[in-house]
Amino acid sequence: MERLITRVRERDETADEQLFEILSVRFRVLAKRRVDADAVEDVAQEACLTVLEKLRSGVRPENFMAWAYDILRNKIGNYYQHREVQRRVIARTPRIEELSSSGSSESLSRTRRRLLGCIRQLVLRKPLLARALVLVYQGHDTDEICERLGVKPEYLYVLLGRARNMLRDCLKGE
Amino acid sequence: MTELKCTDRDLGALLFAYELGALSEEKADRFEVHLMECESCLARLRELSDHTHLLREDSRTRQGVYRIAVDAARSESSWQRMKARLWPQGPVVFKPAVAYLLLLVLLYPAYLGLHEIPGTREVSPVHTLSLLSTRSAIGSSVALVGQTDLVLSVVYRDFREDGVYRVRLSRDDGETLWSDDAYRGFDDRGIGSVFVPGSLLEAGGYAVEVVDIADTSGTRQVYPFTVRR
Repeated sequence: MERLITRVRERDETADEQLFEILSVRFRVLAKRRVDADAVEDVAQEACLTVLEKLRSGVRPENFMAWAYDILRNKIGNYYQHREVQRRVIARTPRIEELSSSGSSESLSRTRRRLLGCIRQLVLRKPLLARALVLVYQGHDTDEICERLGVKPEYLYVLLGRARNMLRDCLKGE
Repeated sequence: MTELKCTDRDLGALLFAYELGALSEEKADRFEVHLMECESCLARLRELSDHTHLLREDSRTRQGVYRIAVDAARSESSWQRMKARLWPQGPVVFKPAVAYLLLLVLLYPAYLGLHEIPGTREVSPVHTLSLLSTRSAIGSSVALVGQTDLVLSVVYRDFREDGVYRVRLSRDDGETLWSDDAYRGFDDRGIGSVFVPGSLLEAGGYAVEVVDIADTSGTRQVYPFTVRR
């Protein structure tokens, strides 16, 4: 990464493209959680371009990735400022067709049914997970959930990690 | 292709909580910085991104999951609830199950004191039957119950103090149950005792035979008896 950054400062176009690719993947994933689906690409690209400009202008961050993340956060903040959009809250209902990767509501229904089936299997095997999910959807964060369930945070994260693996295997059909 | 490894396992453990939107603002920020640097977590997050997006953002999915989770939490079995109460999170010494176990261990000696002491055998009742030598096949009769042991008291005529005797206990069919080829148990009145465990005596006819070893004439004294059950 250090070498790549040095090449970007030297205005190597190939290095620009490589760094752009590395950052845009991450920025899209992170931006997807905080901005509308139709703005994700714009916000991610803007952040990538700003990173490249600043590197070429001589900025030398101590921790490159943390610095790049801050730039993305600023872009997201700007997005909210310009659009006057509130941060997504738990009760908001987005347009369903935008959420589907395949673009059809039928496919979305199938995905949803499959997901709910897997969740049902999960909570039957792990009753504590059922209680944790109830608390998540009631708006509690992990610290509050641990306090209410009387478990340590490490235990909760291990439980969630195992549940995620089981969910992944179930969705793959194993 | 080598499997990607998380660069920070403590932060990597937050993945599913992050995907569900259950992290505090501060933890979510720390995790996102970690995502910028960790190929493994990024790949895992992208692997399920469509599904976790539904879990977090789609209201119908969230309602479905909530309903499923509430039903499951309500129907948690009474055993699971009891288990959670007896064995909660925390140090072992504070778990109620451990306290109950210690109590049982401490009370066990008191329980033993009220009942039999382990290692000792219960003493069976004993019945004594006095036998006289007779030519009659009928002999004496005794009724035994359960595992009652029997002491056969035998009176030997022509008893000699320095005599050595062969004593045999047998069934009517001739099977020997017990024998002693050098029996010296007669007292100075010629009374000898043979102890027979109750478990050897089924209902039927038996006989005790006594032979003076020094007597070459082959004379023997027979003491028949019957056991009734």
